[in-house]
Amino acid sequence: MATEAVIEICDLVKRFPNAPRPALGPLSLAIKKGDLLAVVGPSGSGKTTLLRLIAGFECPDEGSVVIDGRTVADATHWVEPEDRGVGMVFQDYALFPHLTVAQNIAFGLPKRDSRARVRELLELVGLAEFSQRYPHELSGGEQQRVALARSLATDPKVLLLDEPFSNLDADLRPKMRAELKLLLQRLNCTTVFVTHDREEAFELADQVAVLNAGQLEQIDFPERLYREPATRFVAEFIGQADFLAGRVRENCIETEIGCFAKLVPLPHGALVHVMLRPEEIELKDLTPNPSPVFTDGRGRDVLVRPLSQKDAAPKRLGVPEGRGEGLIVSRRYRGGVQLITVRLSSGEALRSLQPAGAHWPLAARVRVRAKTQTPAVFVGEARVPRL
Amino acid sequence: MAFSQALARRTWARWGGAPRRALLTLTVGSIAGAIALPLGVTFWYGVSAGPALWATLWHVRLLPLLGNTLALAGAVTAGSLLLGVLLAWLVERTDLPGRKIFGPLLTATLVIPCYLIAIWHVSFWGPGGLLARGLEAIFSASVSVPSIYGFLGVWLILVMATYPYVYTLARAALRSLDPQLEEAARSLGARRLTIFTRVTLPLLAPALAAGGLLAAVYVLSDYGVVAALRYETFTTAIYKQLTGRYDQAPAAALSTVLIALTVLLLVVQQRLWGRGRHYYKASQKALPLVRLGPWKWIALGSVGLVLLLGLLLPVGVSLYWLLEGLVRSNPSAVLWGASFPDLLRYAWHSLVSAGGAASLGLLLAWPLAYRAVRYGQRGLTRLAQAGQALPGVLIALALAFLLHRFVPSLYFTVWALIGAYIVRFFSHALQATEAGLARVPVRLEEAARSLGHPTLSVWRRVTLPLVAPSLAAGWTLIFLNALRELPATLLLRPPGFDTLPVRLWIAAGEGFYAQAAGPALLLIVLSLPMLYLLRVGDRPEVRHGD
Amino acid sequence: MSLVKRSLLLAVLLLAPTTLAQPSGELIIYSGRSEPLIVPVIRLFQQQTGVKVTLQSGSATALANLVLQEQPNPRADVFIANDAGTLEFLKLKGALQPYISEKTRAIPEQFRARDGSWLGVSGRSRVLMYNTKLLKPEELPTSVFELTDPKWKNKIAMATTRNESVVAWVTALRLTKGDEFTKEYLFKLKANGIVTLNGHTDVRKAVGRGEFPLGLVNHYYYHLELRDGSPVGVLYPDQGPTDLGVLVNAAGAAIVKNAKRTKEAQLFLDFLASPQAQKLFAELNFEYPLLPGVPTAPGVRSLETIKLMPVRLDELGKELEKTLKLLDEVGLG
Repeated sequence: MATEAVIEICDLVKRFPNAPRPALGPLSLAIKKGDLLAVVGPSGSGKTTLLRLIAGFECPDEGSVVIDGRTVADATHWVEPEDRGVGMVFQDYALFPHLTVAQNIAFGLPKRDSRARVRELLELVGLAEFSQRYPHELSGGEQQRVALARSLATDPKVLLLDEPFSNLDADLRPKMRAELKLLLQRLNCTTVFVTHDREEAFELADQVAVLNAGQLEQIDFPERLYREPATRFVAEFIGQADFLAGRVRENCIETEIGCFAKLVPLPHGALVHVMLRPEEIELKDLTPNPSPVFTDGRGRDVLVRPLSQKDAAPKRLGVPEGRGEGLIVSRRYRGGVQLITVRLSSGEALRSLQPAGAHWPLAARVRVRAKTQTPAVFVGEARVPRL
Repeated sequence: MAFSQALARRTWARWGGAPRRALLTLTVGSIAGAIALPLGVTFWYGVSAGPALWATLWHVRLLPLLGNTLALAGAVTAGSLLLGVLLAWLVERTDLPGRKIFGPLLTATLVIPCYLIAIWHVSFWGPGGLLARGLEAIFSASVSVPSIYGFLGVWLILVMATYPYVYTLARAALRSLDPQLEEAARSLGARRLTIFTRVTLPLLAPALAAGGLLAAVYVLSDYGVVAALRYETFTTAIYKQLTGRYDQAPAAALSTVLIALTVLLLVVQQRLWGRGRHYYKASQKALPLVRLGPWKWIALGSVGLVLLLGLLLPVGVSLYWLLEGLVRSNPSAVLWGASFPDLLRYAWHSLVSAGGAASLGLLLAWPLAYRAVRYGQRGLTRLAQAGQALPGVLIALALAFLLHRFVPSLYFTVWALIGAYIVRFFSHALQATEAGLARVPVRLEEAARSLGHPTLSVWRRVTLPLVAPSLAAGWTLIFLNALRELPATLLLRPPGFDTLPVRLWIAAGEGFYAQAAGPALLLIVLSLPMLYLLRVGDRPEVRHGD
Repeated sequence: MSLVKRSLLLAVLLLAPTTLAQPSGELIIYSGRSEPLIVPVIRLFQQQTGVKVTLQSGSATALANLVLQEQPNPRADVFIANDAGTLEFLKLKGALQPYISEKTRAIPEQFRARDGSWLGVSGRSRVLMYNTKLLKPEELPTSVFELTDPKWKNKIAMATTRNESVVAWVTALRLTKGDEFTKEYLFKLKANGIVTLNGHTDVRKAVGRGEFPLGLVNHYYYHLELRDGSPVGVLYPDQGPTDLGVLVNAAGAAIVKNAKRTKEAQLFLDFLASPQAQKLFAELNFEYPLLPGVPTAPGVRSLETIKLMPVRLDELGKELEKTLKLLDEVGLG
């Protein structure tokens, strides 16, 4: 694994003057050749700093950065950014405003034989007819493609993208994401990109690293990150999640809405939390004119609907028993679905995703059930790993 | 009945704004016309000069004058570009010790009118000046000092006077350059020198060109420095023609050439500055400072030299002459009316005329700026800015002609002087008011109207308070420029209405430096509010007075 | 808001007094003379008569232009010039009003306008001054026509040709030597690098501190520089029996036509012709007093001992514009 890594980062620490804690690290990670790593985290979590440390615009206080087997930064080595062979696409693209598109792309190329290469790149990003325009004459999406072409011109070993979609209109982003994904797959270029948008990360990345306050919380495949977040922070950052308190019993974890499977040994009577995502929560109307039965996300009536094979396995344990009653306290429409918040009798709140058409009046009395029997279980901030 | 009422209401709603707009246009048109009139008159007067006159001018005056003026403008522009960029770079991008203090201090030379810098340099370097006297006292033999007069001296003083234009623009541009651009260049493999020549310099170019052209325009309009240092340019030639000849057609003809040159430069300047605008934005992050190492001392030395020549020497020399005037009572001192009450009277004259020009100028600028910003109609506004193309000498010439012909009751009154200042500095009033208005969203005015306030009340209670800081800055700018204005004042002041610049100019012109020191120092003290402007926004618009 | 109110208030405060700044009931004098040379005389006049005076100093030609432009409703009551030519020029243009009184008649006739339009007040001769450290008496030229000699290249300073004394001198040359000769002479001076400075004070100071060995000035500038302690000497050129002589010009004053304060103006002219004023011109300025009986200052050569150019002062006015045209053609600064 280590031999394959194009970027290896070891115990990297970056401090800024007058800051109480390091802006980043200590942090270690490795990226395989051809991989696309997304770095996500709230603003100020150090993700851009990580990118700038790899690019060489910041000098680490501790630790090392190795690119393609060459140590570019540690206590004794320093390679200037212009010598690292790292391409970078900046958040607002940093196109040279005084140069045309073609001149921008040719900037890093030697004078001779740059023409053919520029044409090739322009075609690659589909901007052949824009070569003589100036950056301010282009749309956001076009600028982004120019910036990408410019950074690819020098055949970098590593491509770094800093919030590449944040300056685009919301309706343009999906299209640009798809284009970028295709392009990067074709080029098989090792890429690190920073974003605060988890959808973006999930759609594009092979692996996603979650940073919080300068620390790496988890690095994993998108699916695992969602299903098995290492910490409550990751769980909440990656998607909507509610944490319901429960007690460890003999065979199960008992919560207000019922019992869940206990798949790992936990001390009897301990206080734990189970993570429940809104799409895993079902509601049943308890008012005099109730809607017939439980409904699932598509509005079909079901009793129990396992989400995946994994969930299907422990089905024999049965749906956790329990009263699990509560009142609807808020309702938010979001396109085809609505997010219903239910306050349980204990005062804790759970959210449930329901089809937009279903009628869930405020203050209605409902029964809450989980569709899964094996939610992730947390002790304190950390998830209890499955065996 | 109800129908016709509704129709009337509808018509009123559609056309109701029109009379007011027409009134505004009319007002704006007459103000702009009045302010552009002197330029038009001078130009027309010169153009209509006979071919015989042009032929004579061409042979004896025009070519040498063009050569002198353009050579000086070119050399000064080049000099202030080099110096301005170097200083801006040192202050913004290196670890120069004390850069936080030097930053604003390097623009503080603007506090001293540049003819004062020239006068004090003459009294210091000039033959028989302080330096020669000092050297003679030390070596007890006369030591020859290189002459301050002529091209080199004028060049040096004008570079001192104009580098702040380039410096402030270059500094602002350096500060607002997106640091990511340089980082992007590095990530593409470019080294420092390549980055400077291929990225930084081209990006600064519009700001530098704009600053450089301002310097060139300044040289074209300068009278004080070239006159004090015995170098002949268009302005001195015109002034001489005006004061030494009865036939004023040659002066008008020379003026036409000068106006054409100036307008050309100003148009190019506006174009360049407009084009460069989108290169800059507020930058979030500063780039790391360049370490100067041992070069630090050379850098400090050059900064010190600039401050010495532009600030310390003039102030020091005027203090010296003031003290000498106090200690050694020269028999001729009495004749100069340099007593304290006299000084106060001159200062009062200066304050009255400059203050009047600033207040009236802002008042007149309001409708123009309002129309320009709110309705996007800038044609007349541009017309009203024409005055900045006119050196003070020409404004005096045109205004004297116009007033004498058409409004003799204002001829040679304070109002003529105030009018000249307004024509000359109206662009400052316009720019300040426009900038202020542009920052007040029209939504705010609409909100106030939706709350039931009529236009005037909206202006008074919403717009004016928000524009006030800009107006205050504009007022100060006109006031300071008018306070130090020399050539138009020399020609237009009513009898008995001498101002501080006039007094110090006459005294210094006759070599009575001790008598010039009082008004000079008072003028510097009154110019100190300039520091407020410099603090606010490093504006380059302040002229040195000329 | 308060800022706006304050600036508006300031506007009113500052604009209000501008209407008051206009002098009223005072004698307004336009003076083309160097200010320190006329101020003591005006002070004495104010003391003696109690008439308030507003003095506007400036270039005599510019002020003469003003006097012409302001007709028929002039602001100035009295016009003072350095040179009789300018005064005569204004007379010919009809901008002056005659005044002859017992006191003014005391000034010799050749220094007054025939009709009394202007009054000569003090006399001055066109001389050369030199720096005694740089030139020995035996090296000096004896004639202004020697100044075209290469020996004097870049060594002579004179006042600008805007200066009326210079213009009058050129007119006198034209009248005595002819236009062609004068033009050629001036071209040669120009080619010989003669430097024109802003005024005579500049010239005397430049010679005094040794910047130039020679300067063309009015005689009293030499005396003023000598009083300031500089090593300067004086030379009256063209004094030989066949030579041209020096030009003696008169600085003078006149009452502007349609002047509003004619009475005070007449009082002022009478005062200028009085012994006290004449003494001031002689003692403070080292000029020739024109009133017979008032002695020249010690050290000043009296008019009788000098050979004069045969030029009548009123002719200087008639020829003024032609001279200016010739000067423009030569293009001397």
